[in-house]
Amino acid sequence: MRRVACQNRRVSPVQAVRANTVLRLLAPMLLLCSSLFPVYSAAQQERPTEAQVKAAYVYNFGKFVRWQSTAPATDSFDICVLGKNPFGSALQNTVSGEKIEAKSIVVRNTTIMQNDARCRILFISSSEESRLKSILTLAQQSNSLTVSDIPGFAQRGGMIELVSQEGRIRFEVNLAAAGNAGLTVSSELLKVAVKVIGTNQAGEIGR
Amino acid sequence: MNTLSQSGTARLSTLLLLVAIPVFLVPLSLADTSEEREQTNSLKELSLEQLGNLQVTTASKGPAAVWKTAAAIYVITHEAILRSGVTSIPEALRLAPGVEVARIDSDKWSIGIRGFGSRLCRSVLVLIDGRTVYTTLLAGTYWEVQDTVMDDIDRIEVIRGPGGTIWGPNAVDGVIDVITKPASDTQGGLASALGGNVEQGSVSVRQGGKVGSVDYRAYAKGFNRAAQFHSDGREFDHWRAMQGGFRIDWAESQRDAFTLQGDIYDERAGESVVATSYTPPYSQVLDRNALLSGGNILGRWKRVTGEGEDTQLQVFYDRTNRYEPNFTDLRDTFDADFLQRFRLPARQQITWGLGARFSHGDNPVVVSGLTFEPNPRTDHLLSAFLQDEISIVDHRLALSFGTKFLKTSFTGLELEPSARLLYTPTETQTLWAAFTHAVRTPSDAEENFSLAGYIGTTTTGLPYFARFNPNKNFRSEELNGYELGYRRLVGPRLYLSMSTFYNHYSSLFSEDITGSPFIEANPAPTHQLLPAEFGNGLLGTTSGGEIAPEWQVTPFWRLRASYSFLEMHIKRAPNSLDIGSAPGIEGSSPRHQVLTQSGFDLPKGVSVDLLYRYVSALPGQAIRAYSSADVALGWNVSRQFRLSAVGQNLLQPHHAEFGTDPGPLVEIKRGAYAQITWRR
Repeated sequence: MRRVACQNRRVSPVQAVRANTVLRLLAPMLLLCSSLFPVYSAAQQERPTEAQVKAAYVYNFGKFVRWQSTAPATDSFDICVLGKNPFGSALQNTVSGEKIEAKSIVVRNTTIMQNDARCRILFISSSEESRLKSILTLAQQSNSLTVSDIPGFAQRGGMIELVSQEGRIRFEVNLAAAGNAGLTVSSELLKVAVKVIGTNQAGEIGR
Repeated sequence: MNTLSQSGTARLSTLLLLVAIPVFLVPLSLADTSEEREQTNSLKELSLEQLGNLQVTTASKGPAAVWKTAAAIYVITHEAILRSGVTSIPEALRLAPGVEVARIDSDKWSIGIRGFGSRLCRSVLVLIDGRTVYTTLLAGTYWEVQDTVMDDIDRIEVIRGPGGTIWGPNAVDGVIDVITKPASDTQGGLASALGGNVEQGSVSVRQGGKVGSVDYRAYAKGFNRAAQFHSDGREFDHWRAMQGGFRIDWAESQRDAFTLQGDIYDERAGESVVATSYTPPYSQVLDRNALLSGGNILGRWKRVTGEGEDTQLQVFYDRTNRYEPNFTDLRDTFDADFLQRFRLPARQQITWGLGARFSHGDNPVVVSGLTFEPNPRTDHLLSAFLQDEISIVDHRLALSFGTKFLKTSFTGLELEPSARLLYTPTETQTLWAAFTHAVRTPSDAEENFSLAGYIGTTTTGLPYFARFNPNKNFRSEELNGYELGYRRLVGPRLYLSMSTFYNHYSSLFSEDITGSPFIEANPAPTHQLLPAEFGNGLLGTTSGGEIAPEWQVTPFWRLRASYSFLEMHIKRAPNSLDIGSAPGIEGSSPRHQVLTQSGFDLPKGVSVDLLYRYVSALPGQAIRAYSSADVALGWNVSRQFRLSAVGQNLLQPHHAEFGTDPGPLVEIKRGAYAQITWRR
């Protein structure tokens, strides 16, 4: 179990160093050489980023969810991002020029909850995870569709949770939470969801 | 000597890596912002189903768990492990900066964090899913019995340095926490088989399922590994193992969650040991199989009572059977740990906990030169900790301080205080500083252990032995560690983390000669004895740093790299009786380590990973500096099938990484294997 005495090695030091040096300098070159191939720009376009796909989802959710007519009337369809913005410019690029409920879409970044019900969609960033419980409590009074990629969001009372599965982005729906806020979720959305928890009391779903 | 020119070329190759890469690649990475706009436009045309089928690239983001930690933490992700083609936990640890992993032979590794690497790794706390696998028999971890299905590993969190108050005892130079996926993430079936020349064969099967709100999985795995290269032909280190286990997770409500998990294993690990006995033949090298078997079962309950407020209770039992050629350890360990977090006004979060571990060991004598006295024995370890985290400026400045209280069967009450500061000046950078006083508690190996070594024959024909006698006064080794670290998100694609440390050690393990040789009649027959014991006669400092960038260079190319630097100055304490073991300790840890993992995503689900590492010389082990490279090709043929081919240690036919085995250095062979994985 304990060390035994060191043994001396009789190898030409110069040879050993030279061989080692050549290999050691060659190996990193292998990593660098690949950068010189311009071939993979095609591959670049095949792979969107997480942010782009999530932005596309948020836009789609706006199209497949119906708000009550008693919800406050607004000039624009507001999508509020609460906390650190994970989309970069992707969300803005996705919604520019588009309309939902015949209104143009506005993306707003906020760090504090605005419970004046102006946000149709409230995206809660993962930076707000520690405040999630209080955010969801406030959101209940505002008729907003709450969306997030915080793990366990749907289980904790959020309406739509974006999940990562094997390199793909999918979503789960908490129907009870949506129903309690007076939102109607289209059956087309529910069909594609990987998980739907809580059924609406009224039992009726769909457009 | 070789070392001077080697450290010069080491620096050169390191510089080459760090400088040349940005020069080549900046133009490529700037190209694509206009393409991004086009892409978002085409994405919104897709149906929901189509969106769900797209493969995405994830930007290199500062991992959330790591960002707010005031410690030098590195997370080896599941993806990094899968793509690198490593087949065991010790090999996976090579992917973290600051960790020295040297493979001794087929089934043994020398591992250390920031110095003191050795076969048993005495100053690093190692856990698997919260269960400590550190043995208090010999102070260390038996790496050859720490295994699981590699695909089930969610991540390995490696903390360099003392890490803080909440970690269990003996987290002196680091903490390694292997975390497996919850059962809800391993649903369905998985079967994988691989074969090669060194990794001769390995099969894993795992089945996961769900019953109501209970998720479960069960697995079985077996492998056969060939001996490594032996210049004297003694191929003693064949390794065969079988292991099985299960995990059950029950999320009873939003408040309570329960977990039950367990494993059993049975292995034949070939080894070569020196067996000493007072009767002829006095010293023999035995090349035999060690029969290692055992199992564990762990239960955990967690209740979440509020924001950042929870209570956890964990209980585990471990049985270890080690039948080695020169000793036997039959051990039962019971452990219970309690942890609670709650908030106080003025933005404080209190974490406190209690722990108790009882370990009963039976070590029947195999050779007379290696004994434990008294036998059997029960050791205990009691701990408590208290930590206060204060948010001085919300989201900007946080201070945490606390202490651990430790009491073992060998020592009185010891305190391990720690203070940490975390400063977040902007959204994209954090700076942290820490001071910790940590101790490594004594083990049976120092206090209850007699180990003899045969020196020769005296002129009068008597056999002459040296023996390390039990030292009941062996104290804990102590560390005062000062650390500093910085993390930065440079743009959305580059994440940089660096840390530096200065550790001052005292009462370090030393090998002391306690008197002049004398004639001893017992144990018979009469012989001459040189008395020795393990003492606390060394002290010294270590310092150094690590830098680890992670760069999503292009959407299809991710680069992870690290450079670690270590300087050790260990010497005898005044009046120490140490025989001069300090240079050997200093010379067993590398001064420089470089690692790069370059991952490419090609079309049609193909991935290529190139791993390169450089480790500088270990004069204390007679090991020259070496470089090594692995290539891992993966092909996701369909949603269900994955093929991979991995070549390991490709740069030389064989190379040595560490000593310790009797005889010439065992060298690690160049090898390759192919693997097929099926998933439902």
